[in-house]
Amino acid sequence: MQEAKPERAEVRQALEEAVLEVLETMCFEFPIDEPSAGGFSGEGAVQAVARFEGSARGALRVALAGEAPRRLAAAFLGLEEAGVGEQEVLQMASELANMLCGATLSRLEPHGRLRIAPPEADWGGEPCGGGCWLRFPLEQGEVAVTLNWEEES
Amino acid sequence: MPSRLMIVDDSPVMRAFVKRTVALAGFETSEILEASNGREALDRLRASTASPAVDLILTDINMPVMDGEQLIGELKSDPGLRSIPVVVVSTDSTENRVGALLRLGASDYVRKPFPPERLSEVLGGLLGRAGAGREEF
Repeated sequence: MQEAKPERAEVRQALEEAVLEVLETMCFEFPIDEPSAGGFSGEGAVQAVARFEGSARGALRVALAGEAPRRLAAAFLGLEEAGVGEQEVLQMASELANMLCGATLSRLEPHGRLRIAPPEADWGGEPCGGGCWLRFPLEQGEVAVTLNWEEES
Repeated sequence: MPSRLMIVDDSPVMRAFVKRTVALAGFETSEILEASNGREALDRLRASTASPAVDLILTDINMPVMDGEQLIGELKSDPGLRSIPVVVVSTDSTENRVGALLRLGASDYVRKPFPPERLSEVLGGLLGRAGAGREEF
């Protein structure tokens, strides 16, 4: 059975809490300002998507722009930024999408039965397009996330 | 006596993160084995000549080839491996899933993302000692 689609404000709050939790605990990074909602071109950003299905289905996308990809990967791995390779950045982006998806879904669907598929990441990739992204400015770069929750067809 | 651990996760960066966290927590390890899925973990454990094969296993759940749930089932039905404590480290933290994994035989559950202190607390409880470096957090 598909779950009812959560309200937009509920999704925003869950995403915001998840991003702050993941950035702080895994990357020791804090946004420098309040997040803003809106469009995001994604040009030049590392993007990762984590798809889920079960009692609900959809996908969480995360985009890392500017210096954020290398900075976050370096913090995550405990390395200097210069020592982080492109493959490690993509792997970190995938893991970030995985954790953000899990942290968001556990807030929206604490009793749900959901399975997250192995995330996919790409450098550049397709433009993120429209939709409502939640954008978090970092000291160097930006993290943007969006959740697509598919309704029962 | 230093512990032998195994980290099972299909994400190389998450294996590196967990490995670093174990070291930062000050746990003395003689060896940390790594596997990218449950099948690879089982093969390595069954090929080990040590007894026990490892002192503790940290495993993800969602992995290709053999997932963490299947791995725990295999471990708990193997007389030579069933006594090894298994800690699940996963993003999948819905109440249903956590309950099912604990009933299956997992010793504890660490939800990703996690602060280093959480992993330190769990390892300390299961390995019977705290790391010397805990105060560094």
